[in-house]
Amino acid sequence: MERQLIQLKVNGEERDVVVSPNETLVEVLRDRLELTGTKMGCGEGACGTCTVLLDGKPVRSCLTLAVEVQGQEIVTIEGLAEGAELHPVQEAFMEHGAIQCGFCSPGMILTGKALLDENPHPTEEGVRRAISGVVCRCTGYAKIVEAIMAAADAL
Amino acid sequence: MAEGELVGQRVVRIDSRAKATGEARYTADLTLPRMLHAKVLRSPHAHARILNIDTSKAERLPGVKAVVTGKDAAGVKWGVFRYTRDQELLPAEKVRYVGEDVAAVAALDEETALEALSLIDVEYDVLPAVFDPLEAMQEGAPQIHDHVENNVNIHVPIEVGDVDRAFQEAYLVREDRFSDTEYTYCQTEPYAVLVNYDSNGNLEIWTPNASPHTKAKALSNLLKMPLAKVKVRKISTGGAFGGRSDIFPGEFIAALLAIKAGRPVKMVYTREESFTSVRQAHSMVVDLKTGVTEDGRFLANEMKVVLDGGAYSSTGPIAVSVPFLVWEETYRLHNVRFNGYRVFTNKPVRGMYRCHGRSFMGGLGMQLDMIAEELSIDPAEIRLRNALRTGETQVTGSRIISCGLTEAIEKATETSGWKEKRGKLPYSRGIGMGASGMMVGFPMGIRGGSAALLKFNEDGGCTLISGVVDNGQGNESMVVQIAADVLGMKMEDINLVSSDSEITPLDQGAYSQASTFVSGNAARGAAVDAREQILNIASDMLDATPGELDLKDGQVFVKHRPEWNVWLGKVIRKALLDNTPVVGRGSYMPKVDLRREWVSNPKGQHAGTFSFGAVVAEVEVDTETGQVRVTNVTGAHDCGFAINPMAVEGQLEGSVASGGVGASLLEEHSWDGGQMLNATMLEYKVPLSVDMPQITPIIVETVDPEGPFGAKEAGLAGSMNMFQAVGNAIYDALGVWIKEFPITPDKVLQALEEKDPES
Amino acid sequence: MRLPSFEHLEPRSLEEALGFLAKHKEQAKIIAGGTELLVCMKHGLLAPAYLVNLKAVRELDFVSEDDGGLRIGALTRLSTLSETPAVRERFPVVAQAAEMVAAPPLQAMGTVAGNLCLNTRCFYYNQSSFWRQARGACYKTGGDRCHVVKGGKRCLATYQGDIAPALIALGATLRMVSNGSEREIPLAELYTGKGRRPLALEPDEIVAEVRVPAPFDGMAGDYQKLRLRGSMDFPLAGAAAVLSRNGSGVCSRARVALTAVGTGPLVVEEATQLLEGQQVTEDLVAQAAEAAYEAARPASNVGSDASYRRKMVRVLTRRAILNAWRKE
Repeated sequence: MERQLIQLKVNGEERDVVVSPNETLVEVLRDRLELTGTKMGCGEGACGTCTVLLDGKPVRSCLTLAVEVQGQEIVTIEGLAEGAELHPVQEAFMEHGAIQCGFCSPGMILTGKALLDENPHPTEEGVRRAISGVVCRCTGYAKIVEAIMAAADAL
Repeated sequence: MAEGELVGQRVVRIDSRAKATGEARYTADLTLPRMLHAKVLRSPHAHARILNIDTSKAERLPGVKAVVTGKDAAGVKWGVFRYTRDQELLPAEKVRYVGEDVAAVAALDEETALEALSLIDVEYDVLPAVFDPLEAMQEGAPQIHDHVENNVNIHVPIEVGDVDRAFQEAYLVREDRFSDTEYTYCQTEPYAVLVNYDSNGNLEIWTPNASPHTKAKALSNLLKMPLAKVKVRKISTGGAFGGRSDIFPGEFIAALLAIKAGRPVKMVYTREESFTSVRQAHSMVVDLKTGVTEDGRFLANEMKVVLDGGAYSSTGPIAVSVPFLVWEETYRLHNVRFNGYRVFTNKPVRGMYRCHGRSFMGGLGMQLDMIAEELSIDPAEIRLRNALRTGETQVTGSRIISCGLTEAIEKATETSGWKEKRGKLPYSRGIGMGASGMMVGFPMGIRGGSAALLKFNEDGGCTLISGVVDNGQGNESMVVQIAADVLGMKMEDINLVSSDSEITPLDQGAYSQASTFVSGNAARGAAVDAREQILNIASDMLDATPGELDLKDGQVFVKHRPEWNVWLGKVIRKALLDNTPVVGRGSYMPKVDLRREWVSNPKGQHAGTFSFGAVVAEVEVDTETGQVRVTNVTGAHDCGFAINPMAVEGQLEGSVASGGVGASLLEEHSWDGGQMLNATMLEYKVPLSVDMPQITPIIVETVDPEGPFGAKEAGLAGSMNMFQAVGNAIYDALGVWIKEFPITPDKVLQALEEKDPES
Repeated sequence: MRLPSFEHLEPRSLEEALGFLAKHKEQAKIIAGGTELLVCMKHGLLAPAYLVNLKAVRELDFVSEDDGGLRIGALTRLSTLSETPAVRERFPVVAQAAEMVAAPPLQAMGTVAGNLCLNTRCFYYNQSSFWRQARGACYKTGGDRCHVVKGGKRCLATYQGDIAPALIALGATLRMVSNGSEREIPLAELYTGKGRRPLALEPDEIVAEVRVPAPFDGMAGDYQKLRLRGSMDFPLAGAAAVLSRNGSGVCSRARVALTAVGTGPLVVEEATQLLEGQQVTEDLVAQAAEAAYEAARPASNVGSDASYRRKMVRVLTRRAILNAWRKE
């Protein structure tokens, strides 16, 4: 198995990284690019904590090969704020108490952002459906839904 | 702001920014120079003697730096209590469940470690195994621990009053059996541990935990190292729910490897390992017999509960006592008999859980509704008649200093439209209620208290040093909010140093929902002490008595002449020059009866105070598929006083998810013998956003005389109430009682078929 | 959980992809969305030496209308499928089924062919290597026994795809291509019902597209899925019905297909016989549902109780038929 040099565009930066084909995106982000904001909860695509945005869409980075996303725009939770200015979805999660243990928050926030980019005025049902692939064990989702709806109003 | 103005506000939690930006670090995120990666070889057998372990091939694999087996563990056994020391964290002679640790490897990377595991040869002598607690109690069942006959790990008998006579006198007696299957915490963060061991003999540990001090003490005992050398560090923790409390094989094994290799060792469990090889929740069989008077008041109560404890004791004595405790903490009992058995089986180890005992708590609530129906009493009314009130003493001697149970029941019924709905909704829709009281902390001896320090800097800012632990509940923010309130400061001007066993004073940890009551009180004490010191020093500077002064927004001023003031930084500087630096000290030890013991002496004041709650839940049932949907929940909770109402609501909403949807309807482990069939996030059914009801949280404030600003807790009663409410709502909807949790669609359908064989 | 080693091949065209498959045969596996394949590889169920990634084979990513019917490229994402107006408007049952696959992000990753070619699943198969090692190989992993039914003579792993029953009920066919040859088969024939090799797909063959014939007059369909949670879960049972109603209110064509209650999707022929040429009454629908119940053979290997799931086939089938009938 040959390792190869690939270019990944992560949070607007071009990063050269040497990987093996069997490395998943979450492994490369966390272990090689030190972007540990992306969490891994199951490694099997079932929990959604490893969600990152690929060309604006939420994907499971544990089921994405690093070698197959060259040339695509990858956004992780670290790339959402502009300097000290947080993204409105991040702000809303804080303001509305949507964060408890925080482990699902990166995936949840990115999923919320992607939803609002696509549909700036979702219904509550639409929000629930959009985040239905990300498991939160703490909040009962109530304040997460509330935060995404509030961010929609703010945007 | 004056004291009492900041507490009670919906504030943004201090930990949320780092969590929103991805900066917050969890154990698996950490790396250290020269760090190795470890993996554990696990037993494929439920019960087997280890005859031989040959690690020679693994040791020769390039990249492998250390291999450990039971031989390296020196036979030390762990147990939470002196009388429960039955678990070798890396067993040398025998394995007792599938997934138990047998050997471990630390290597340059995880792939090498995994390859090395495949090179270890273990010879087992497979023994007969037992998986059902009732079978395990029978004569002739395989004996899991040599010293434990009939596999009865713990038996807690409690008897008060004349139970048999009271049953004879009762107007109505009901007997029911309730049961449930195994379920689990399923925290979003899988288990992980990082250990650093240096040449001076310092051992540093990072691992998701509910108490660094408890972990440190256990490791100090197990590794025979002084407590000062064992340093459990602060780390963000991705959920606990009771499942991060005990000491686990992982941290012990990682420590052995780090010591042996002389290098830092990180071990990150797979989701499967997190399911099978850390902790799960107990399954229970509950026999409940209740005798009441004609007007529905408890006269005689008897409960026998058998818990499947899995292979080792863990927190067994506590776990087996909780069914009794929650019972006596909720209702006025007079004549009561309790027999709790925790039984060993060849299954993974069970511990305390936020949703502990859906069968006993759901059972208590459902049987009460059955009795209410037979007596034609409204379920809310029968609860009110038996509900404990402020000033009463529980049957084993705990006095209740504040109690909002009645108010919670009344508010939940009023807000939910109970009177208009109960018994009046169309077939397939129903409404039900649940209520409970809950200890805020429990006797933990020297570990039951908390202390805090508050040191001021010369610029007027300060650092709060507290042992408080936050697994997501908001405890860190809570202590800062309290201190900021007392000191008239902004929360952002107080820096928190917490949950580090080396630096922060002893604290009970995030156990038994005690953090606000105990750690919050300690933090408040430290702030009050610092404030007094500041006002004393400033009184010289402002030529006024300390009583005439106030502290707010970094200024000390004379209350009736605010223009006479001095900057706080200046006061701090003067204190330094005067050789009286401002360091606030606070501590709190809950007023419990320290002679109380789980098994040998279950009487006396059990907790400093108790919280209470009631929920009303509405369900809709698809009568053809048996699928139940919880549509609306109104939850009222007596938290004493809501320091941060947003956090209190968040706890209640989380309880509805884990207790009301997850534990009540969805979650369970399925097995083939000792092998768990669904150790995955896909097949273990944690509720998703689309499964959740609309939730209306109601905060009941009783202003506890002991709690900081009157606060108690917010974490648990919601779950306990939801089991009852869902079970009762299903009865209201369909007219069938389902006594086995979780209430899955097949059980609903079966109950409907039994009720009406024609359908 | 890490992936085993493999070589990653990135063909730019279908021809190049077929060349790789022809060269590496059984040693190669196709990856498109990856949502199933990579999980299986992490579990050590598959360890192909080569992964042929179809991502850049754009010619397989299309949905087009053709003679009133549909041509759906193999690489079409499930989310694209359900969002395409032609699918939504003219074959809504397909969109309905696609929207019930897993959760939205997985619909955006997973492809049509990937979902159709879903491997059969079992609690004793979809497990880690460690887990499986504790009990030895079963029929599906090359052994000589079934862990689900002790003494069982064949593999009972369950097919749990969502879109297959809807497409089968619509009469869809597959265009399958290999180096130098091409064939078209009814979708239902893709499924062998055999544990070791559940798909009638040659190692060098690719499912290139799905062809859905033009809708019959007065046609409507419905898909009913049983799952414990409102998202993420594979079906525990599923029923798709597609019915056509002629001008005089008679059912002129009826197809019912089931999923997750057997080793492959099941076509309920008897439902067709019962319904076609008849006025659709509740009683007739109940008979058709009974026939579906009789045909279903769920095993206790994917969660929930098998006898419960079998009963649910009756409910789901009845609902699907009635919904389809009423929609038209």
